[in-house]
Amino acid sequence: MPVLEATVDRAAAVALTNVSKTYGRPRRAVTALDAVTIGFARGAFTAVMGPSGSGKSTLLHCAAGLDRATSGAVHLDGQDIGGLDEKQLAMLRRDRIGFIFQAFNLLPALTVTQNVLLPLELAGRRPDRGRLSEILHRVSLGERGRHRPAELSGGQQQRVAIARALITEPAVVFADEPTGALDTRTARDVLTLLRETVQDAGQTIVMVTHDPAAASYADRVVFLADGRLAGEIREPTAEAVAEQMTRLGAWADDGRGGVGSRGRR
Amino acid sequence: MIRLAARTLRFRAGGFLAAFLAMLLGAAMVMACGGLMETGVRTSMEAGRLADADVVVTGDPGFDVPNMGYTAVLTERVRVEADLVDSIGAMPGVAEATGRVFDDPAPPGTVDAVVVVAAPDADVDRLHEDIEAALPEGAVAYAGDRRGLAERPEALTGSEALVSLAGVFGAMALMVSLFGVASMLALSVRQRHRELALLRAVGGTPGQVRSLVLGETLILATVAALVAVLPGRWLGAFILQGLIDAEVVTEGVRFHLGWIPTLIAVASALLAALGGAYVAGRRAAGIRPTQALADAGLPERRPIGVGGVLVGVCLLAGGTALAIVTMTALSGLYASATGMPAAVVWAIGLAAISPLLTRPLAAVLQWPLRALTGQPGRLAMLNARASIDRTAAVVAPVVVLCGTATGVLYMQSTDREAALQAYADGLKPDVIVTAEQGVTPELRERISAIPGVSGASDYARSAGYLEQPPEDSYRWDAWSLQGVTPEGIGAIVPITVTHGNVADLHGDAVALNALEAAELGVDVGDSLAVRMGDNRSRDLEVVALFAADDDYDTMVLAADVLAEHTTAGRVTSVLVAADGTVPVDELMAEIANRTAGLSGVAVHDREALFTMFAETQRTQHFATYVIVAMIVAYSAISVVNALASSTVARRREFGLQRLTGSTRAQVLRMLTVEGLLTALIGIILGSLSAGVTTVAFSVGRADTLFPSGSPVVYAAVAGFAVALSLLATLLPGWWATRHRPVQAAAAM
Repeated sequence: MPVLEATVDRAAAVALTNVSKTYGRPRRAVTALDAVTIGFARGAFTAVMGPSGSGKSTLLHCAAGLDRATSGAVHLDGQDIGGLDEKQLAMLRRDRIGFIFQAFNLLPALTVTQNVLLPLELAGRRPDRGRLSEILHRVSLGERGRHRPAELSGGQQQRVAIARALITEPAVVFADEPTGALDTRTARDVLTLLRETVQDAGQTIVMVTHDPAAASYADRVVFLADGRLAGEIREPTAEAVAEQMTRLGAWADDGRGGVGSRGRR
Repeated sequence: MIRLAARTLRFRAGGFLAAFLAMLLGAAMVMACGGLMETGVRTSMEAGRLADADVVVTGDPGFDVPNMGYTAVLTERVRVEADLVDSIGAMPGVAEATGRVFDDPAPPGTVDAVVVVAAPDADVDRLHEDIEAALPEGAVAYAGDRRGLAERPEALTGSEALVSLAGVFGAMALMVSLFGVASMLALSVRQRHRELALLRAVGGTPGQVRSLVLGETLILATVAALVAVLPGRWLGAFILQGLIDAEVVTEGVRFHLGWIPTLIAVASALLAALGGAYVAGRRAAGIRPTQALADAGLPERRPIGVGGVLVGVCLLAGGTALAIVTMTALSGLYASATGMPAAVVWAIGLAAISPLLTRPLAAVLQWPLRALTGQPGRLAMLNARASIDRTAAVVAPVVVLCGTATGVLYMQSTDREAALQAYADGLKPDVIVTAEQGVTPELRERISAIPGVSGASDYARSAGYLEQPPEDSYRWDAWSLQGVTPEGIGAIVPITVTHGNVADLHGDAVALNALEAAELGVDVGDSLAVRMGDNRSRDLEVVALFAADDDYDTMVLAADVLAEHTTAGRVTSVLVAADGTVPVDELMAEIANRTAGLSGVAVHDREALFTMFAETQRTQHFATYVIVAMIVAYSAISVVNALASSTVARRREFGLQRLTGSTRAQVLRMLTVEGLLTALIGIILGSLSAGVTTVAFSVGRADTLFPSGSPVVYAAVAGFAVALSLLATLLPGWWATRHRPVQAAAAM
């Protein structure tokens, strides 16, 4: 597929070329992703939006090597991950990728410090104490290293997840509805933190969300509908995002468009 | 990963309780078996009346079975020549050697044992070796804690039983432990699937997740094995005491659990636990990382896979094959050997495919249960059918519990009934007269003369081995030897003579089963060399052949000849058959009357003989109870574990239910009906399994479709299953609903 490859930005941190994903048996297959080609630039904060069932979570799973694409190619940091087996994918994830999920990000048995160091421990790498305290400090959890997740608030737990995602200095951080379970104010803090890691440390972040306010923190928002790309907005505002979402029929009946906004910095 | 495993364990100690208990139980059982095996191998005894001896010499009770490379332990006391007393007494280092006769008079020129006291400066170990080297063939020297064996050689027979029993128990304990641990760990993996998925998502390889489960198990199993040392010792001593009470093992045998069997037990318990962890770890390693991102914490729907059905069908096929072998095997005596495993394998197989059977059974049972329980019943039915996999997970251990316990227990009672029946068929006396001093011809004649007596025969029993002609190598068991008086035999032993004449059964003569004789190629007039119970060989001429079942491996001898080779050395009972003209109790009174002047003579009814016989059967029964107890304990842990964890996991659901208007009592009532339903389905499937295998057993063992046994056993097993299910639902249910519903609904 030389023609298609040419259309992808090979310098991107993550590049999907003609990626399709179908679930179920051949006869009754459900297409979650339909020949999507997209690149996520280095040092950029990209939000992926779309109505429920638009395929945005599937896009994230395929891009992050959590799930395999049915067809097409995924390049992560220039490497084709299509041929990797489960073990290699796991090693790729712990070395090159950081994850932040909506909830249940942390192992309840481990303390904050142990959770943050988990990817290093899985890789058998010796943690750098200075880097650890710097990261904990950056997410304002310097004093909480010995606490267990159950002793933390939801926002604090998400900040631990961010620290864990950043500890390996990954090529890209994937965030799946990272503020979905948080109240507006706490969500704003977490998003600001993510924004800062992009701005200050040049971190690449790809975030899936359905919240226009959250998306407005990104440099660029790409829209998905029915498994296909449905436009993008650079330098988004919450209003512009909400408008596009309405156009995609996301809130045809529940009127969730009116979410709080923020001014661009 | 071991560090992560240790942290997880420390954090969720409670979640691993069931797996820990399973491992502890398995390890303790294996440890106990190790101890029993060592006890059997060493057979160390209290020295008893031989405490003053340094070395004791007695007859060697071991007989090398021809062509077998196997040393059998003979059943009677083996004596030594009295000359040995002097020759040993003359040896250097011996202060004194005396001949000793214990309870029964020894034949002239022999003693039961030679008691040796070492000279004050002699090294006893050295002396023991010297004496052993100087002994003639057929004598052995014991020292230390084996001296007691000279007085009670039957302890060696018990030890033999002990070693094989310990081997069978140990193997079963390891197997059940492996499956038990695997199922508990599988549940703990299922409960933590999101955590494990998260581990995979942030970069844990499948291998690392597997080693996490292995690491947890290794830590847990090591602790369990160490903790099990003491309970294992107690359990072993307890089982030994049970076997002593059942007279399988001789009183005075000491329990021994040295460090070598302990180490072996620890190692095998660890291996079994790791085997279980390997199974559970494979499942854990297969968890997809995307499951961590699933939004709700609900357990994933896990319909039974093709693999599960395949395993279940294979087990059922294997169990059916075993049942068919049980049903058609040549000898009913060995039915237990395949019948009991058939019950276990069938129950496990049915449990494996129970997810397929739970749904239709629940559909059928909903009508009666709904009718009986009203509104909470309706909700319970909806719940049970909506989450049929959860119900099935609990049904499986109930199936194993009911299927094995009922099957094994009824097989045992059927077996006992059949054995008693066979014994009763093989012996027809109505009255038994015992004479401590020995039966005299005069006593027998006096009894024969009583009106109403159709015949009276001396009776002695022993066991021996055939030396000539050589037998096929399949026979491990001894021949049963019965001693009778030829004149009275017709009235006592129901045999039909096909060749020769039993009236010739005097002196060195023998009668045997015509089928066995044909197999051996001997006929009337041929000679047999038999190794008698006292390790002396005797040539016997075949004088008669009789028709009997092919497993009637009995040689009939003259009672006085057989008695010469027994420990007692004399015949002590007379079997009396009535001719039916006088009622048996009147006949007994008359016999008692006519023998009143003789000391040591007592009159018993037929039951006494059966009681004596039933006692000799207790070995197997005690063993069966221990096996059943173990299976019940494992299943109970599984049931409680599965039910309790699923109930606690439903906290939120109960909270929502109460928010929408249910009272706490209604929630608990609903849980009661769910528990009942689960228990009922399990009992139905378990009974199916037990029914199939027990009927097969009954056909094979007793040629009847109907197993024997008390219905109380079934009621007890079913009642236990119901009580267990209810307890394991209601207690955690009560705990899970102790908070206000708002808190519960908001949790998670």
